[in-house]
Amino acid sequence: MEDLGRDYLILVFLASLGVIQVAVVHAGLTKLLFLKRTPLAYALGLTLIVAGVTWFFWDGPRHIPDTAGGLDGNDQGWRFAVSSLAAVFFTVLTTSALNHRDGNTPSTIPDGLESLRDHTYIESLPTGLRSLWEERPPWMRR
Amino acid sequence: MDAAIVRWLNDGVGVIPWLDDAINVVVSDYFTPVVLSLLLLGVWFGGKAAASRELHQRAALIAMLGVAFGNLAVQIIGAFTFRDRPFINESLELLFYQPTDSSFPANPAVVGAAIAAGLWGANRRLGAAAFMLTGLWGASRVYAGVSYPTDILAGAAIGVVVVMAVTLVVRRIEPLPTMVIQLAQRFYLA
Repeated sequence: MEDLGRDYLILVFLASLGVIQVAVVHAGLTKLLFLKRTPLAYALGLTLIVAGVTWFFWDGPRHIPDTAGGLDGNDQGWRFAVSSLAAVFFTVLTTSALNHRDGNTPSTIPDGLESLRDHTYIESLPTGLRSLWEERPPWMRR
Repeated sequence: MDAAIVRWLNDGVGVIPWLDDAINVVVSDYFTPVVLSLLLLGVWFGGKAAASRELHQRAALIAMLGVAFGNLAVQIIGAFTFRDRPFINESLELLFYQPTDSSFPANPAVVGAAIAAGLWGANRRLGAAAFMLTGLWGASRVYAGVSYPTDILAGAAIGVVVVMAVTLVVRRIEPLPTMVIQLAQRFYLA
């Protein structure tokens, strides 16, 4: 059970990293890329997906009933959520370090993922948090 | 008819070893659900413009809610009905472990169809791909001897109907879904 659960977490983490790379190449969110050249980033994404799946199923299809150590739907659900969120945060933090530019951050940063075309996650985050603070509801202002 | 289709498909087990190996992976509890969930993660990030990205994110939220409520529907149906698995009543070559829960409706088909229907609302090509993968998953479960075709069809129908209901509810509770996405946008995660 522990091995299968751990292996499942690793499968989802690797494959999520790969899917995010492929998706952000498609979306043009260049500041979320590990590699600046998009064909290479695309290839890295596909490699991570294939590597995760191949590694998980290397020893066979893992037909284990959830009554004998397999993962039931709920178990898979929370493990997928935790591992894919870890992949998201690994991506935004690592690419912020890799794609960091020296110099002043422009004052206008659009909301949401759109900003990650031109700014890294860490460059953008203070703007979003500032907006949240300025727009806080009246009961929080006292 | 249902049993005849299971016997006919299951007769093919052992004839083409590489096909059995491939189906062994597709029918697994882990391959298809992970691939379908990764599709949701991909559409969350993958829109080319802000507007299409938000449409995709809304679809991903609807699909996730559809999976949750689809599972709830299966639990409720399971409390009132129980159908034996095909391998109980037929002499079959099993490619899977012997599940002990009800054969009807097939939970994997509910999950797959809910994700596919959710994606269909925002992206026809990805939705069609997800429906094809769900169909392959369902067919492989019949081939493996653990589900009847009607279990799969009923599960898929439940998944689609639940997503249609969730879509209507999500429209009725606006602006809550928009606020959720806007909050994620402030953290640059949507």
